[in-house]
Amino acid sequence: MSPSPGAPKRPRLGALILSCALCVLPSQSPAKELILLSTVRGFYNTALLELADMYMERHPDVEVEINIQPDNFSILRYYTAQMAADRSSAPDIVHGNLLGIEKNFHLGRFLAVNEYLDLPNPYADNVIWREIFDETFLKVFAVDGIYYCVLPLDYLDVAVYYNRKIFDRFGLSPPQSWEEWLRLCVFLKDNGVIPIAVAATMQADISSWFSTMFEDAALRHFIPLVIARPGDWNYVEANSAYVHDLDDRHADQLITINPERLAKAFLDGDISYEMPVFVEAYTAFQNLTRSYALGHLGTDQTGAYHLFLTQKAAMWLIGSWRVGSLMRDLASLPEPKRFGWSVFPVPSLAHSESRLGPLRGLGGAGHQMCIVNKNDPAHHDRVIDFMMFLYSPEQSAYLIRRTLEVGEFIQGAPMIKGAREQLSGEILEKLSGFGGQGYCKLEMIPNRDDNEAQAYLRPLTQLFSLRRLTPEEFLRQKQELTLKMLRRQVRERGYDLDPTTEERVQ
Amino acid sequence: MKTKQLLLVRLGLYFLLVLSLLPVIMMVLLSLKNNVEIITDFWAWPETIRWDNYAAAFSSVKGSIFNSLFVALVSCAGIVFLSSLSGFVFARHSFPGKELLFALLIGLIMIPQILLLVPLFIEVKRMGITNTYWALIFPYLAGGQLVGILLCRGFFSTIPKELFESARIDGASEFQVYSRIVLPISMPILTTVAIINFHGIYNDFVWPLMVLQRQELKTFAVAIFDLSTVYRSEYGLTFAAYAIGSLPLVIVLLAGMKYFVRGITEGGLKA
Amino acid sequence: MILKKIVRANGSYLLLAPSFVLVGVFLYYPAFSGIYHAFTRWQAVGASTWVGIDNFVAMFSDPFLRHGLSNQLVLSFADFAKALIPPFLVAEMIYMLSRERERYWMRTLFVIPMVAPMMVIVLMWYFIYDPNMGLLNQTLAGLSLDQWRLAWLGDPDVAMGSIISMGFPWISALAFLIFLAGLNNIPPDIIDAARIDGTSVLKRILHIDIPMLVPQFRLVIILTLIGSIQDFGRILVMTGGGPGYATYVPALWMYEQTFMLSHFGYACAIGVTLFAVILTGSLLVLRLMKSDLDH
Repeated sequence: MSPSPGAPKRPRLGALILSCALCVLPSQSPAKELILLSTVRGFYNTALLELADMYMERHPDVEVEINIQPDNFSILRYYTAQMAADRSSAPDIVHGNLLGIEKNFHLGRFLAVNEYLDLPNPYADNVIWREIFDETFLKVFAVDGIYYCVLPLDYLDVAVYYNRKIFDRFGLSPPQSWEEWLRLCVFLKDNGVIPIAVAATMQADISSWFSTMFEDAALRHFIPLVIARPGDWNYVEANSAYVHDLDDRHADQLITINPERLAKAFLDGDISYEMPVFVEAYTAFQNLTRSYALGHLGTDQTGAYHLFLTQKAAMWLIGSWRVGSLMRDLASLPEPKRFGWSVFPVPSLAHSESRLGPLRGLGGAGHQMCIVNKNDPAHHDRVIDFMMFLYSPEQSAYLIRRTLEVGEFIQGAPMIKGAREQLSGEILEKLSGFGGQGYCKLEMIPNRDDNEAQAYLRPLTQLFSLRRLTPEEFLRQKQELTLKMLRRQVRERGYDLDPTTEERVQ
Repeated sequence: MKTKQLLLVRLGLYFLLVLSLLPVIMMVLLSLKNNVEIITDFWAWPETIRWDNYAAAFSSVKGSIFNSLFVALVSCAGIVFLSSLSGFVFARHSFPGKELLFALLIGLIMIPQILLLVPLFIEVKRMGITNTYWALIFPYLAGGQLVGILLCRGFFSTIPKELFESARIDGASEFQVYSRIVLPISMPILTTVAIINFHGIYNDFVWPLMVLQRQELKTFAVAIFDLSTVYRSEYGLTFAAYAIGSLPLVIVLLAGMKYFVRGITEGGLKA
Repeated sequence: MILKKIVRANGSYLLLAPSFVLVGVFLYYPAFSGIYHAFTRWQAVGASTWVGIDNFVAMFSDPFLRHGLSNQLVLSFADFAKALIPPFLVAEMIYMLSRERERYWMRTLFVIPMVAPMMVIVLMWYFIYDPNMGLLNQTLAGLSLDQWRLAWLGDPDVAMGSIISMGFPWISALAFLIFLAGLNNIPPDIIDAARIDGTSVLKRILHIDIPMLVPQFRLVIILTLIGSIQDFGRILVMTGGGPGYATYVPALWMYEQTFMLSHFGYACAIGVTLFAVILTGSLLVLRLMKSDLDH
């Protein structure tokens, strides 16, 4: 072909494409140290961004980026995607609620902050950092009872919101026992009122949280079997002081459970979900599901909320993080549609054949902030410094106050001592219905952090809450699944199931 | 055809049409009401038309709409370019292995996305382009051009050779032949290709869901799903967001409707 | 000899390079990678170990896939019916209209529903099915048909039906246009002959239209097969696979395996299997649905 006069055309096109490419490639930022915090939308967002700015003012060589995801599942996707490759672009501080804290710690992905907790906090008059927290609560999140991987921002729990107007109309008052609650529900149903609104979608199965309370009540029976003994790797002094009293809600708060003993107990058949105590527990729970509003498995949090807000349902099973939005929405309704409301804790069984313990709170934290291990101690120090800044009385108070100011929501009562006083009287009053019930010993639940086990368990729980499975059938399958998953973990992680040696995933 | 039968047919068609459009109509209606109204009186005509729903919704979806538009437009431009270029080469040139190469391309049409999702995701991750537009654009270019090449080759083979020969004799390079002659003639078919791909890309949900986690980059389909899952407390606002997000598609489809319909009906698509 | 031709034709290869590079990197490579990794255990980028057919064996005892298979069959057959019958009927109805202008307008109007993004339609239907706030149950309550108020997405017996019913009246613009084009291509003499013979419209449809449209039916079936098997987006949004196993399909489980559980190898195995099903299905359709129009 002859050389053509039109040849320059192609390079020009190439230049155009190249400049377009340069526009969309991520811009190179100046070499500041980057701290990336990933959290969920809707809570504390504005205040966090402002606190990040404040920190950056004090430390101009640090950039703090707050990455906000719509919900916990998005964080899971985001986190999985970042960690699947190299970690440099992964978040430093992550909202760990759905990520499987135990698993991530054992895989070396999360940092334990034990040593840091014993250091003075420069942003809190150099008080030892550990003392700013409620020690009991902090311990609830400790992996294997001794590794502190979670710094909870707030205290969250679930309870029963109820409509005072409806209750007064029928002369009802908050039930003192589970049996009484069931009777109350049936009564309401017979009188044309939906007793309970609850959400149970794949994103958030609130209903299953309440069955966890029952699981805990049953599992407590086996604490003497699995408590860490002297010589076990996670034995602590408090274990010797343990008194096995099921009526005492707080008896097991500070003790540690040895995971190897727990796994062995299940694998050897010393604990089995098919035992009568579990059957009774789950049967009692299933009785409650009869009073659920129609289609709870297709109802998301907003749907359940609307049932309660429009007074079609008398009660609402949800957590403390909705206090703020309920108050706000009620205030915006016209006068005749408003109603008084309050919260009562989940009542326990008055009479139990197998001596089930009382139902305890879930002791959750709305924001379970975990630090990602990037194998860079200097960087960790910097990240911890930011955390100390965040978790100090002045900044914690600012977080709460500012959040309420801009009309965003808090998830629950703040964790840091000295920040509670920042809440107004009304909010404090509503929040008081949550907590005080002790905390479920979640580490007694096998496979709790295992995403795969949870994925396989989910359809079973759903069918059970629809009463398509009898308690016996459900428990049989749950037991089978539990053993299968435990064996898989033993196999994959190479456990030796020796209580004296710590098992870690390599 | 008897007129009564004809009337029935017409009535039937209109009835089905209304049913088909019902969700869209509902969406617009609900977007104009405020939240309390939707809860308390579902069917009522809005008391006051809430245009502010649209204002608020716009600010929350404009980012994602921009993302979708950018990706779709860039991809479509690229697809059109590649389809016409390669289609032209296959139609008008001869070279060793032509049919083999063609088969290698067209055979890929049969590969559904499902096989590629996971490995492509890992590959994109390894290339380091997740959370960028490229993770979307490149795969769209690769896949979207295939049917385009097929259609274009067919189209170009029907154009008389002489048209190209005279240009070549005049000293035009291959690329000039392409841009000065081929492109203008093939506008109708290229428009069809562009519209089909625009529609597919704008609607694509699964792949952007997997590949984009940064909020700023999410496309409309993913962002609107996020918006709806957890806090669907503002119904009016949500529907307004749906309506706004539909606009680009509406505009593009209405503008190219003629070509699109013609392209399919006269193209005689069949297996 | 050939070498000389290749060298001389280098311009052509160069022009084709962009297409082939893209195709090679983003289609061929992942396709082979997917097939290869289906036989591995793969949980993070880079590290995969060969496990032979373990993944495929595991698929047999996976409850999600067992239920997923039956769900997929139901879903796909329903999808076939939805893609073939209503669009065909509408195409026929428009074909019956005598005036060209009217046909043109009707044709355009029925394509209009395409302007709504897929996700918007799915979310609207999600709202319609809401047990308390949704259009469906609100209407039933308003008509005093309370006993028909069901948990459309929360009841395992009904959930799949609800997902299938989404998009009522199921007039897919693409399928409809393809059929209409096919009808328009039937030689007018045949239609005239049928009319002169006094054949009823129904008979004409059965004996002439349908047989002549077999190539179009084949295309729509294949496209629907592909879409039905791999589009799990709608299910993810509507029910997430529940309640129980009621709406799980293999593609959705594959997605969960990738994103929630990081079992990339297993996910590839599922993907490869689904691909094989699509391929086999398409070949079967092409082989079994013979038409006189093929030579």
